[in-house]
Amino acid sequence: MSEIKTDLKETKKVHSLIVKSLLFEEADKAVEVPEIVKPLLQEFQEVIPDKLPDESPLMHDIQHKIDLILGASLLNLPHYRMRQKKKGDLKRKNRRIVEERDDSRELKSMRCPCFINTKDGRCVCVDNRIINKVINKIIVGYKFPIPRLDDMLDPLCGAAVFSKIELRSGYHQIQIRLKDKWKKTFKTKNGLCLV
Amino acid sequence: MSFELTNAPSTFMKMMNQVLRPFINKFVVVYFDDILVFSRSETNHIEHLRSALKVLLKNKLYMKLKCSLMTSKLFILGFVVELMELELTRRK
Repeated sequence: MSEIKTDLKETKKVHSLIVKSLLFEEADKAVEVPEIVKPLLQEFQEVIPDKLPDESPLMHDIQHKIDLILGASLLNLPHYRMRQKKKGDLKRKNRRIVEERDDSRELKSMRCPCFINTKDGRCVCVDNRIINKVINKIIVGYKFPIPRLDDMLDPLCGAAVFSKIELRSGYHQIQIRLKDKWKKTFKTKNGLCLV
Repeated sequence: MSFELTNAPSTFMKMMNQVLRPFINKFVVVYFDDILVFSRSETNHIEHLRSALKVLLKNKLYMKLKCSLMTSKLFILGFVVELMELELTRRK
């Protein structure tokens, strides 16, 4: 405290820092569920699972489509080196991967290298750097204006009670159009995989 | 779909708009993966929340446990939303 006091005598900039941290605390506190909503959450417990279900997301009417620029050449990069233990993990991880591998023998593909991310080998990752640098360059980008937030908040006028619902790993809850799935193929030591 | 793909945000926004279309601007505002439900009174709010959650359940969309529910003051995307007024915070 004495240090702060001496600092305060020298400069007043310290004030602004303190105010900001309080604001953060206030924002993080707002997760307590009021009693009235609890029965409602009980009713819709399936929407708030502890763990995301293993099944793939529902096929919505809107699916993600990947259109490639005409005449662009497809990638073909070598797979990464993987430790022996992790190789086992990859095989065990998903039988579906192995099955897909056989199907995709004739499949043309992007052939991006992949690696296993977590310690227990649960998650197979395709290298994001490659996706950002290379794949996105040969995908047709459609123009999409990001909605203006201040415009969107106008209908709130007069409202007194608010709730904020955040979707869990939102983007992973959309399917890619079936005929575009091969464009997300990646390469492992055992062959090509589709997830 | 992974988020780093080109066009991913636009597809996601389209999907969210389509799913929640009947409620948008009546008692729901959608901004990518954030859904803001607003109402004038608490009794209405429960009904509104119920219909929003029903739609999420029907479309198998899952939400985070950490949500602010039924508050009179809400932090959303750098804004503070309160009764009848909107103030911009410095929070990023």
